[in-house]
Amino acid sequence: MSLQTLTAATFVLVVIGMARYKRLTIAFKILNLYLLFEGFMYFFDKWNITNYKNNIIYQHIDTACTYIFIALIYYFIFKNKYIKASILVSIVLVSICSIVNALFIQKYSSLFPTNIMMLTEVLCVILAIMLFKKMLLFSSEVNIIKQSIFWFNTGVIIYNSSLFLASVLANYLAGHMKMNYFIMVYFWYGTIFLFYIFLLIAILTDRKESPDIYVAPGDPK
Amino acid sequence: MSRLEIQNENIGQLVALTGVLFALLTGFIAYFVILYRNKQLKNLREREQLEASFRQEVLKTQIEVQDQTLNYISTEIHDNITQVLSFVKLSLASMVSSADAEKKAKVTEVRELVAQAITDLRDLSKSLSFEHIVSQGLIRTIEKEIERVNKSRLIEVSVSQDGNSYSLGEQRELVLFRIFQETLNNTLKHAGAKHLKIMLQYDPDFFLLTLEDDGSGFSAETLENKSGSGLRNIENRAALIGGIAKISSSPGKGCNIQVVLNPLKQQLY
Repeated sequence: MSLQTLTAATFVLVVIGMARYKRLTIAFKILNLYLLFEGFMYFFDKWNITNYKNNIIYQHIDTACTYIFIALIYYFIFKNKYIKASILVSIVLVSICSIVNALFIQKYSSLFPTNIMMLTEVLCVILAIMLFKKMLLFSSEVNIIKQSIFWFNTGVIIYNSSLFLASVLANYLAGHMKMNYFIMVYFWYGTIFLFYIFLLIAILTDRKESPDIYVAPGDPK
Repeated sequence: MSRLEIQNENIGQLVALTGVLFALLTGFIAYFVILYRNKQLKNLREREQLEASFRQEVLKTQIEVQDQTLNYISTEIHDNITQVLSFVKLSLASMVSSADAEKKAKVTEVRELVAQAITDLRDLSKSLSFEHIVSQGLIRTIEKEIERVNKSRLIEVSVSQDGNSYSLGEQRELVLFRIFQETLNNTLKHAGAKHLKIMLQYDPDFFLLTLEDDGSGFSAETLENKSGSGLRNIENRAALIGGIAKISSSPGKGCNIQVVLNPLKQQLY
């Protein structure tokens, strides 16, 4: 398992997503664009590591952009105007925090953006739990395993909680001088692969023709 | 502590934490799926109940409207047409005294025809009237209707009763009578039957109405689709009074309709 494998897996997902692009809903079209972005990020990441032995700046950009993409996907999934507005506000706040963090707290040239990582992971988990709650309140007749939203949301909650744990664990191990980076890297890769499996199912099950589900009374369609 | 020991300790901690995390997440997702499925089933049941209640309401309204219409027709026949015919009959009676022998015979013949028409219309009026059915009771009303139909010689209808009769309630008896009328109508229109047997079985535990003809019958496909012939209507009406209608037929072997009711279970619409 390596960065090349991850890059290849990302591009495979992008190809599958592109093949179904016209049949995807706006939210999952954005997911496809996110995967394309991630593929290029991994590619340049690897190139930078090989040439300059430093990929920290990419981590800063990737962390902020990942949240923006994920939040935008949720923006198009949710129909409630207050939740939509909150998501837009969170995107602006995360962007500002990322810039401040990269410039003044965890320097973009030397430190990983763990602060922003933890913030965005928590925000993503909150969004995922909110969607699960909405799914329960306004359940549709469609079988849950045929719902792209369910697979995407499950992927997001597993990925972000695992990465949150990884971040906490990394801090703990580093603090106690017991850090073994290889283990952490493999854990990280494993989590990303698992996330990609969920995203793959989500892309394959998403259909533009499906009726709007999880629309609460009063929500715009 | 050696590097290898540190690494082993790290792996142990990581495996344990990862295991706990994934167990929690899997548990959460499984719990969510179960909750979601239960919610779906609950919604489905609620929707089915609403649909059933809506169908029942629509049927009830249809029957009420139909009964009102039939009552109106019955009143019109009784109060208007038969009155006019009675006046015609009287006028003809007054003509008899002044006419010659040949005309007298013709007028008397016409009078008899008018008298027959009045009697038939009164019978028809009674069979349509809700009040009349209620006051006469199910068996008596069916017998009267059979008399009327048998007079037409289109079909031979017979009725038999098993057990001591008891009241099923006004609404239920009216609906059963409408089922009988629907079947009779179907038999006359579509079956080409020569005989129609009606059996009323009054058991303390159940009431069974059987209607059996020796007509052309129909295929299982027609039975399944229940298109036309008012077959669906018969089932719906039976369901409305808490009964079950069983319709069986095959080509060339007539048709058998059974409506079974629990007399103790009062379901008035």
